[in-house]
Amino acid sequence: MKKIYSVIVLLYISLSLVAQEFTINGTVRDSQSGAELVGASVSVVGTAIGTFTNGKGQYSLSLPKGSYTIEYSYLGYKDNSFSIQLYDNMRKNVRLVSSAINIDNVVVTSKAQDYNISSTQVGAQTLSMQEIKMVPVLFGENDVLKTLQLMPGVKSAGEGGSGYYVRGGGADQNLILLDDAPVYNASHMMGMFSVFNGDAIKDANLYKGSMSAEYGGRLSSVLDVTMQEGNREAFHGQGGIGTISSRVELEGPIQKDKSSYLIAGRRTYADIFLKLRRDSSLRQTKLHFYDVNYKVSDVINEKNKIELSGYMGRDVFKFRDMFGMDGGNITATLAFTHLSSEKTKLVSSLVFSRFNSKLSMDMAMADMSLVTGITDVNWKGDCEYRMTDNTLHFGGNVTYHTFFPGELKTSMVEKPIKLENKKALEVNLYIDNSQNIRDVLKLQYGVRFSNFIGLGPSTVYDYNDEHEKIDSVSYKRGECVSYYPNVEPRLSANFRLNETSSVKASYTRTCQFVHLIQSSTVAMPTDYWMPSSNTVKPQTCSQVSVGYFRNFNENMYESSVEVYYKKMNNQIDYENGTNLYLNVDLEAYLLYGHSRSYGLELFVKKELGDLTGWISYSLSKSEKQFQGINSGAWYPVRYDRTHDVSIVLMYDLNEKWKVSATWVYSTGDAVTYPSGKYTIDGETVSYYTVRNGYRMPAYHRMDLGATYITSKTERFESQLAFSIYNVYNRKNAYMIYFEPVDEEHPEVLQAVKITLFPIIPSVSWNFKF
Amino acid sequence: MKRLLHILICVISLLATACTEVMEDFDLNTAEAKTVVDAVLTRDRAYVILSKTTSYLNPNKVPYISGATITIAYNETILTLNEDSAGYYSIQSDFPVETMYELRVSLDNEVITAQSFMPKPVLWDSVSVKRSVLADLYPLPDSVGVLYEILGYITDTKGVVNYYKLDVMKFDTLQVRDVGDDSFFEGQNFQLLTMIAAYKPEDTLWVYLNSIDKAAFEFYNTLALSNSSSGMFSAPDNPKSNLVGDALGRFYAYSVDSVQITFPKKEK
Repeated sequence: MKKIYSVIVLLYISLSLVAQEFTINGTVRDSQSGAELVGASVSVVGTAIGTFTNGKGQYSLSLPKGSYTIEYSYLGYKDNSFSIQLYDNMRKNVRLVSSAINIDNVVVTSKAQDYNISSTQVGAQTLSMQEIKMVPVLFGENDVLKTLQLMPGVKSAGEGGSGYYVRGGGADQNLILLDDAPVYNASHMMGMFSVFNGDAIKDANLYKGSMSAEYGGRLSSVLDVTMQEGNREAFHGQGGIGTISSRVELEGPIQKDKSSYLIAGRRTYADIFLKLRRDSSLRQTKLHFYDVNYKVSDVINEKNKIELSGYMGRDVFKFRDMFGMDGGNITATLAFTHLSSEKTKLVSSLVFSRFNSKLSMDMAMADMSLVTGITDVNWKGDCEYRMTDNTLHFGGNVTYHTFFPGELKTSMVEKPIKLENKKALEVNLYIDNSQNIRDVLKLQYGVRFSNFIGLGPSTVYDYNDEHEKIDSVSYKRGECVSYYPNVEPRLSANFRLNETSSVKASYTRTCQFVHLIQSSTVAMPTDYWMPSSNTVKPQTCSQVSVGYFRNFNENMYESSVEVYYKKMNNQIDYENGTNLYLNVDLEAYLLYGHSRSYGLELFVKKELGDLTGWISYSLSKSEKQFQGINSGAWYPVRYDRTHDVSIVLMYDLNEKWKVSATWVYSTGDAVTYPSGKYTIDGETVSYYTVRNGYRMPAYHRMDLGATYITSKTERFESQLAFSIYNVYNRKNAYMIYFEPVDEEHPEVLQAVKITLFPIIPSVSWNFKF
Repeated sequence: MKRLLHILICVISLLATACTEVMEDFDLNTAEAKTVVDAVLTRDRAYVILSKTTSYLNPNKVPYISGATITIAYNETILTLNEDSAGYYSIQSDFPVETMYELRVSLDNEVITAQSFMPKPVLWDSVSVKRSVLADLYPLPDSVGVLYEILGYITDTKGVVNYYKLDVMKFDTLQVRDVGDDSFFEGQNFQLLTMIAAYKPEDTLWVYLNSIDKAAFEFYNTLALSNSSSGMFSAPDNPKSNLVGDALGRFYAYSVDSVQITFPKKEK
């Protein structure tokens, strides 16, 4: 409780620092497209006073009465400056002109040049779409999530997959937001591709250490993905035809300089080629995904703006009429932004998110379909109040969750089998302040009050040690079944050592009320979410991070060294043999434990020049402890990869060619293999002694990419993008199993590894106009 | 459900150009040998096989354990099993259903005990066999046979939690083993057996419906998971045992109903 008082006192002090000042504010935009420039530098010439534009391209500076020259700058754009006489609050919108004829020839980042050392963020990564589009990936499909896996502290969930683990946390402990809407399953095709279509994405920010009190609901990280806004000046489009998918994006003004639209779609077409096969089974097989992104925005007037954006995607797999998987996400965000004064901005959003999936089988001898899902309806209100050295954020959100844990329909039983839908309310309030103290120390501190209320109708059971129900309580519609309040303090500090280096530290506490039930390490249509309950307590996490940040050669190179320690409580696992599907008594079979993770992360990035890229290295250890597993001793989690290295290089050879390469290396996954065997009922049974006591072979792989501009005029540009995945054809083990060496000695076994992807070349043709 | 999930994953894995390779330099540790008890009790006999664990990859001959004293106790009866051959102990008797049996294995320095309940048998209502519609879609060579669907129906006993173990044997070879409880179909008619497989003329199947207790269900349920290799699924673990003492294995009593199926001779 003392911590809360301290934060409140600090906030009070911050507010009291406000002197008699006037405010200059406005929006910084691209001169051609009208798009807001995020992270543009706005500085007062001759002073150390300055700020950066926010996620909407807006800035605000509070200054005493006087004459000033304000300079606006943004990487890849020509600087612009204006002289002003400030004797009252004033508004100044600015348009910056691109500094290069070919905007793709410069690295356009959505942050300031020295953001690495000047921000308070510890463990934050920002990716621009230019970087994402240059990184070679499987089948040439540019992917936000796969590019994030090349960052320190972020580990891939598996070969070719888009799932990821952050600093020892589980894949379900990452909050993924698309324009404020939570995306519950961010992958297509069992994790092979992410749901994010690069043509519709503006940028992606990952917070794996410190995070603003605005964010919450997951333990390990927040990935905040922002969709691009349509061009308000002219009609434009882009698209591509690739090895496995094609895509198109169109955008333009609805009312010039006032409102715009953007719509982007893509579809894979493996099944179209299957129709060319002779085998009638393959001809009738469906195997594809599609998704659509859209955004409509309207600047009502200088003070008000409204935006509607959303996503809809489905995965379809159908083998004849026998097997089928069908699932996907729908999100929609309606956001209203209002500048109520020169210093105050209000944003109110209404958000909808749904994920559902259906697994079906229909054969002559049996039929069944299993449907699971989750739906969220959320309202969020956020207020930003800017002062000279302080930016105060406060607000709240209310989320109404509906969980669909499963319904099975089959002719094998007389009536459908349905688990009770669960309903819950999450009410969160937060306050957060960024404070600049004498340009040497920057603080960001805040607190999030999170509240989870499980709602009826519901029947809650008590179980004995034999998992048998011994008591039950029924709750009526709307009745409070469970209630969990939590206080989540956040603090991060940046101590600027000099112009080129800083030391940062942070403490973050997070809480998670929703839990993913999954039987495998890849995203499956049978995975489903369940809420905290009287039995299942909310997961909590405390993390401490410290880092040294240093830039070189006038911010051409940025580097960092970070260490962290993270402890997570109320972690969930299952008793051996637990049936995860349609199990009304699942809670009786859950095990509760702890996990911890600590490590060192090194990062060096070259931001400017013909050659750009980065090297990241993580040294880490991630463990779990559960009573009932491994005799209660700590054991490594499967993705505890001690060493994890990524090297990404991108080089502009000339005006026509750009080439890129990535190389990744990681320690093999921690896995459980038998240390003996025996025979029961004539069947060989494996004997295990230690959980995850063995290691898979180390993983490494190199990918190459190249882009050739085939045509380029003022109105049209096309290019060919080549990529080679796993260029030296490394046979990385995806899975290891054991089989008899020969039929004569079935008891003598050998290990056999399954490898998924050999060398895979791909090519795509991309265009834009 | 788990089986269906595995099928789907296999199909998608095949589409993902998976390939395999033997790992020449792969080795595993060998744990200290542990006692293994394989104890079974049916309506007419009980047997126990005592052995030790062996190396996983390169086992020597299975070390059977001789000289143990093994008893089965139920109601007020205590029977001592005879050692018929090294490590193999058995006795024949008329064991009643709906009875709790207690096993006691006495070795040099240790005693291992276990309890198992033999439920009343649930009987097959019917077991049907017919040529599958897939047989024409996927014609197989004569040496493999023709695809048949085999469906088995039961009526679950109402008011009692039943646990089932299905064994389908083709001659002496186990083709299918599955366990389940009646949580989805308590007291209802249910299609308990659903399988499709290729059979040749004059092949003979025995379809066993074993009624077992909860401990046996948990053993076989976890046994299926324990043999999964490292991959995308959760870490495997030792099957849940009902043995008390420092040993692996299980003791289970069961009652059974079986149906024999002989496939017709090929028409000339």
